[in-house]
Amino acid sequence: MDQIPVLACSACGAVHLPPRRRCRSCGGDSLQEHAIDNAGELYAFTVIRVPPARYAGQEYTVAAARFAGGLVITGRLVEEKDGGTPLSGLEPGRAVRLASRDGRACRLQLA
Amino acid sequence: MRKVCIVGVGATRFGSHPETPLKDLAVDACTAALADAGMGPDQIDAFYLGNYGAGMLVGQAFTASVVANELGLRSIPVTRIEDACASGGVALRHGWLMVASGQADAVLVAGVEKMTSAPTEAVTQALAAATDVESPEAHAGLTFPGFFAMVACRHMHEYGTRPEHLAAVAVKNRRNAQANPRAQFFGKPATLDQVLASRLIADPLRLFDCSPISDGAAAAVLCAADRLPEGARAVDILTIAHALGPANLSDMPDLTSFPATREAARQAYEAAGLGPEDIDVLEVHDCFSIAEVVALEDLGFVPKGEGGPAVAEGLTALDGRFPVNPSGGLLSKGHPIGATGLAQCFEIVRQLRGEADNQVTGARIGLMHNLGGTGGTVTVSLLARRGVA
Repeated sequence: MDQIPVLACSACGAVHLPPRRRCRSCGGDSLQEHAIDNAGELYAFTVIRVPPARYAGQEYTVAAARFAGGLVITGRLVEEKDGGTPLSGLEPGRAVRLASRDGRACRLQLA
Repeated sequence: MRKVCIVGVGATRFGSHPETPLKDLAVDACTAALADAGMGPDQIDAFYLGNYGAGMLVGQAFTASVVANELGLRSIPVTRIEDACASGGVALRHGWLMVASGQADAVLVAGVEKMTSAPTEAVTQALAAATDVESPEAHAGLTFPGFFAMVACRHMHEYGTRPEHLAAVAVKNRRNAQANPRAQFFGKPATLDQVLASRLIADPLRLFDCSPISDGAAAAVLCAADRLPEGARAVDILTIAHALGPANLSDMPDLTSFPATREAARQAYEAAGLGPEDIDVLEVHDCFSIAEVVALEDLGFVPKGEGGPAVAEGLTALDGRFPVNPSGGLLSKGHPIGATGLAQCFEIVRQLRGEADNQVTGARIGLMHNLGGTGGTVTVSLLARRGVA
């Protein structure tokens, strides 16, 4: 996936994913289909050691990545390209991409 | 708008109350507040109850009516307020507006939560409902500790905040709780080393960086300033501001700051004609250690990014320039969700009456900061010793 399909506000240009009815930035209701480059930057992350009931017994990394236009995508950080645990050497600023999106669940990986 | 005073406060011990039903916790706090006010249930014109998750956690909805009936209130309007962790602060604001507008002369406001009887996974899942459950982060399994851990991650990256700074918040609040017999961690002091060696909950936050799961209730009696009962030990409500913020992490333009805290603080300071420099004592929403750091910055007590070192250097200690969370805060007093805003009120009222467990000498003006969800709702309240502001 080289590009990420998003909604862009016709009035102020803010981009949104997942789709929403009104623009978060200006309140405008004219949102058009648009695409942005699948090239993001790791913004923040954590490792969940105490999960909610539906993920009982699991430990996993959740990350937020910033893309063009200030879009933030939050999802599981699922793997590291060069192997090893996703934790080692992880720092905000690392290049990340959206690996897949299933409904509202997003999966991110290091680029 | 009429001037409104708080004429009575009450609270249960916070912690584990396995044998006490939620209804009784609320009734105990309300009864104490009414006794403190020297008033009876027949004098109350409206009742607000802050409660987050009784439906999910103990299978009890309709909590305001159930508690009001047990208290023996007359046939008055009673309303449950649910606004995540700010349920209590928002309930207090509605009680204030009810009296200020002249719709009522005396209003009882309470908050209650019973959490310890549910397993940790169930509590974690119930708390995760205080965000948009259809959001990508909810689908990723982000928990509340996880959300604040990401705030900490970003704060550390941008400002150089260190785990030792966060631990200093936890240690300071734990120290304060040692003088508060109602606190969950009363009699359980903790050192910096213990905090830093505790197990990871959501990196970089450790167990001692997180508020505990708690049962408890707190309450306040509000009364029109021109209808005070004889001999009332009244504290003035200067204002209570309430603002909306993003309900999701992905909608936050800057993870190191909560826009709703900044907006509510701006409104509160403007309405009261006061600024941070005028505040003598604060109770802020330290659901996690990083939350207290960010709150200090958003409320204007330190420049952006300097909250961590400020706590470590003692600015917010009991004998510091701005004593924060003398009660022990959510971290050490406990955080029964719906009760927290009223527990902050309990502490600040007692500070302004000069009778707190950790009395800040000469405290005249106090601030309460109550934050819900991912900063999606925030109240900032300013209280003053009668007639000083």
